[in-house]
Amino acid sequence: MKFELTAPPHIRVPDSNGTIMRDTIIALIPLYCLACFFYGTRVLVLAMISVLVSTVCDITGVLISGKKISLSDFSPVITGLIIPLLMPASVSYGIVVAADIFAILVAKQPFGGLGQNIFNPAAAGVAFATICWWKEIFSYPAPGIKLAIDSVITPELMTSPTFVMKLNGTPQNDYMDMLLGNFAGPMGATGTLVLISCFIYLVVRKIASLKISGAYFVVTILMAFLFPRADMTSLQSVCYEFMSGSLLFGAIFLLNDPVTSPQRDLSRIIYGAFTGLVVMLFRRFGKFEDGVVFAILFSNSFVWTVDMACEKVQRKLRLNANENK
Amino acid sequence: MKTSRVRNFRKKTAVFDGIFSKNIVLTYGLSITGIVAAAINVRNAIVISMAMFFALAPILIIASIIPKKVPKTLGIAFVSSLSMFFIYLSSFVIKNIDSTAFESLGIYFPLMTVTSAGIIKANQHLHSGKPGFALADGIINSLGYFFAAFIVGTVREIFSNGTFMGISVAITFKIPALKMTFGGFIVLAFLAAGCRAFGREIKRILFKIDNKINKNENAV
Repeated sequence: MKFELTAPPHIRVPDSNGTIMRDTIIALIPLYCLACFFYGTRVLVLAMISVLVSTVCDITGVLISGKKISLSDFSPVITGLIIPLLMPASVSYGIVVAADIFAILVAKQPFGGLGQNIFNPAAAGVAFATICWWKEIFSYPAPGIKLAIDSVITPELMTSPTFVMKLNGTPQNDYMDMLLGNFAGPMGATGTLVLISCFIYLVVRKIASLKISGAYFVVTILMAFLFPRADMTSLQSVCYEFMSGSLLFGAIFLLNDPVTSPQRDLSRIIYGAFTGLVVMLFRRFGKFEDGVVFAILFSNSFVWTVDMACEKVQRKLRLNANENK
Repeated sequence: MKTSRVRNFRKKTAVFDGIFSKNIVLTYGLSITGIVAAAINVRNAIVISMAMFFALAPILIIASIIPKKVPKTLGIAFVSSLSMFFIYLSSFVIKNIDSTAFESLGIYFPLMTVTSAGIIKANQHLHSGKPGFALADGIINSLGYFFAAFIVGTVREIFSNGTFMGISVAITFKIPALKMTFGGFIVLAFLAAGCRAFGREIKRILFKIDNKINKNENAV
């Protein structure tokens, strides 16, 4: 019998790191198109600076670690694209740069780089920027006003529906405007219809997990329905909580990060549900009007524990099923 | 493979080990509370370093002269209790030098009595019978603590306040998170990594020089 020796991999799947990252970038493009439509070309400049800084920081980290630079590694590009989308279009370039540097050089590379990081780098970068410059992060320009490319922002900045709900008020935004993204908020997190389309694309491409995002949506909707924050109906509460802030964006792009999310089916459901619960608690009791990134970072720290526990549970269930057979 | 230059370098710099290669904060991660929580500016860094000196040096001398009849556990407990007395004495000195910085330290000043560095160093010198050596070790390690605290305090003050020792510097972009404890952890972590990388690089260069010279000698 002749054995042919070949180099691994021996089991091939159509998905690879490159295809996963490419699909995520494709899903982010419509959000940038919508943001450009509302706020002008400043959005693209923010994105370019963010991607450039993230990539340079990642290359620096890889060289310091003594590893080889991989040309197919688009993870810093994704981080660089996600960070500005969670911020207002009027944010200064320095804040975006600081968030990128923190995301890569503090949250990603010291833990081992690609595939080894415990915390989602984009969420960590945005959380850092929120702690340092929360006034700038939570002040949004009105959509439709084209912003200047230079640092001087002259249009008046507004608050978002999440801020109104934080003060126990009822937002007065029109539902259609909220679906189309025509209201003040993070530039990539306001277009609900576009976000849902991106989510469907990622689910079809098997990048986003229905178990994680589904559990997250169920818990957040339940909490909003059962415990409305202000003097509004449960249905109003669900609509405003769901469509304002970065709740939806976090569910699609941050929770489904293949590195920082769990691997087991049961642990994915637990992770999604737990994150949804923490998001709603942070929104109600936290210092900031929107604590999605903090909730995701908090949940990331439990992923390994949840995975180990669910592995033991599933192994016991498998053994019991085999014994019963 | 020759390592004579590396060994000579290590012999010559052994005196300064406590400041760089065997720094209690940067290498061993001991007593970092005072630095990450209290050293938010240069003045606080200087005051907390003085507190460390008063907490460390006298107890090392006393630990070295404790007779061998006294069991180790009792000796360490006695020496750690004595550090409270020395910290209390030092408060009079430090208050006169910089009362504002002393007040701003808050709970972190009396916390210096229970430093992990003090307990571990006292354990090393216990029953040694060499008070001079213990004093020198105390001074060098206090200088090492000051080195770490000063750099962390400087970075945090410049990039969060835009000042150095209260004087404005030309920094327009400030990072308020550096004033917080987690910012202190991050700055300290990068400083520790940088110092260790620097030390390793020097030894690597010396090793390369040694072995290149060795190759040339063999070629001749």
